[in-house]
Amino acid sequence: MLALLGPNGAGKTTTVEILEGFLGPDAGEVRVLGLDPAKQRQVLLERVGIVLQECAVEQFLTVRETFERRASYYPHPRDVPEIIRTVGLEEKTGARVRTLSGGQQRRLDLGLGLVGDPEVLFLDEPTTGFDPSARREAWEVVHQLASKGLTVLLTTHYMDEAQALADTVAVIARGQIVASGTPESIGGRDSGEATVRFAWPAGLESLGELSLDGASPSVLETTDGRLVEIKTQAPTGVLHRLTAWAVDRGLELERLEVTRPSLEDVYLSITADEAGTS
Amino acid sequence: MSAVESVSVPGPAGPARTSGIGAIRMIATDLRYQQLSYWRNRFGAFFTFFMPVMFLVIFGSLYSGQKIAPSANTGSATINYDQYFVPAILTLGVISSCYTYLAVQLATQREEGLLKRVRSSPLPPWAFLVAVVLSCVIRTAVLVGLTLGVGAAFYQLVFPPHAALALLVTVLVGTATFCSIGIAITVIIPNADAAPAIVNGIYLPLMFISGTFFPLKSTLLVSKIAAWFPVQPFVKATFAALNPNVHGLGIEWGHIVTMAIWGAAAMVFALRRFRWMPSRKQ
Repeated sequence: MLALLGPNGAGKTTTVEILEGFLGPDAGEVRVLGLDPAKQRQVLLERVGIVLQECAVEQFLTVRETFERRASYYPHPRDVPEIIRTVGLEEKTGARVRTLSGGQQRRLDLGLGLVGDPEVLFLDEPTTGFDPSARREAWEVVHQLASKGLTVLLTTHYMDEAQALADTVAVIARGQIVASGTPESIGGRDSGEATVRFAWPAGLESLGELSLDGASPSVLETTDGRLVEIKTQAPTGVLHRLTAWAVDRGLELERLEVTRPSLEDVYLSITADEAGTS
Repeated sequence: MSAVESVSVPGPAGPARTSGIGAIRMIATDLRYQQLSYWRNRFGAFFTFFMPVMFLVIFGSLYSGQKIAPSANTGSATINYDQYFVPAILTLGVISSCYTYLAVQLATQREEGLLKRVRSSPLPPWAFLVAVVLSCVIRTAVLVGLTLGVGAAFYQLVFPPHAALALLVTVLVGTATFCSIGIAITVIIPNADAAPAIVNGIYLPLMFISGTFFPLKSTLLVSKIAAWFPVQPFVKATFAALNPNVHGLGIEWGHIVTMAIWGAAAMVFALRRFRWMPSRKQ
């Protein structure tokens, strides 16, 4: 599963719409499943599933009818009751689409993308507007599908979504891919500096003789109180010295944590660089 | 850094599948769901049927049984006003079902992304539009039957011998014409909110100057203007189809050709300019 990540207006939807054949490319060559989306669209549409942003569904049909109607467009559709189960709408099978909640409508959307038994699924911001539990449910569905071998192209501006779902993340800005890799390694996440942080121990006058092998602590005054932060390439050694120092003095290091830059930090720094160069 | 246009997903090519029978089956299936959807939406069904039937009842209560004196337009014998207002309101019904409803429906569906969704499926776009038009034809046929039924049952509408064929020809051409215009007009509708205003803003003035409620003298300036548009020819041809003073087929070919020219022009325009995508929200 590939996630396209980028700020609004970066070209995510445009990219996907070119791949889906809604738009023709201004230049270059596009192939999806070996087909040209602009010229061989009709054939391609039988083999891909498209889940669009903000697209209405006929309000007065039931969930089952909506799926059956869509299934009638495909040469080898999947079994409708099975799709309804997959997206968790069994209890709404006979309900009209207009009575579904936002999250249920989006799952209906997802199901509609799957009816034709696609080889590739395009998901354009599938969980925008979801409440947290609906997002988890949708992720679960997508995750299962991807684990069964379906190729998924996801666009999103949620970091956690890309992190939860994608094998590969590509960050797109101003129509260009500016970084790509696994969610764990993109932008040097796995090799960059780690941050060790803890709350200033109550009653302590100064850090005194805390020696950290060259890494130097800095003190931050935050709304959460005073914090000590240490940036280092070698967190294991730093942590060892730090904890030895604290144990010697009988100090409990409250809120001690070691963090790598989050996908969001990396994303923000990549897109900020891009904005800076323009 | 790879450029966006080089993104591709490899795989083998497959054969296309749109045989004649497959297409007919697709259209029939989609038509069924469009009909289901239409009749379940009580507001939509109510408004298509309410206005024509309301006018029929109002004019029937006020003027049923009154006489129209012989004239160049109505023929040599006195006829009941019923023979005029029932066919005239029949045109109002056909136009509100084909032109008004279709235009508002398609413009709204386009802006809501429903048409875009159709384009994301393998249903050929033309097959979808054929199903839309057939669904409209079914609705119109029900409305025409209802109008004539109410006219004959509650008022004094009579059917001259030529009526069946003349009505069939006139109403068929009228349905085709106003469906085409309804589809074409969506091109100039910028958003869903503007749809009713634009659609009615064009039809309502024409409705009044085309003699939809009372016969207008053809020497009036407004009648001369209206003669250039498709509504007045439709009213006159439908009236002739039910006019007991008419001898022969009762098919007003001149008026029918005027309508057909408008219909053909609208169809050409629609084929070239019809939009499936919602307008970009600014």
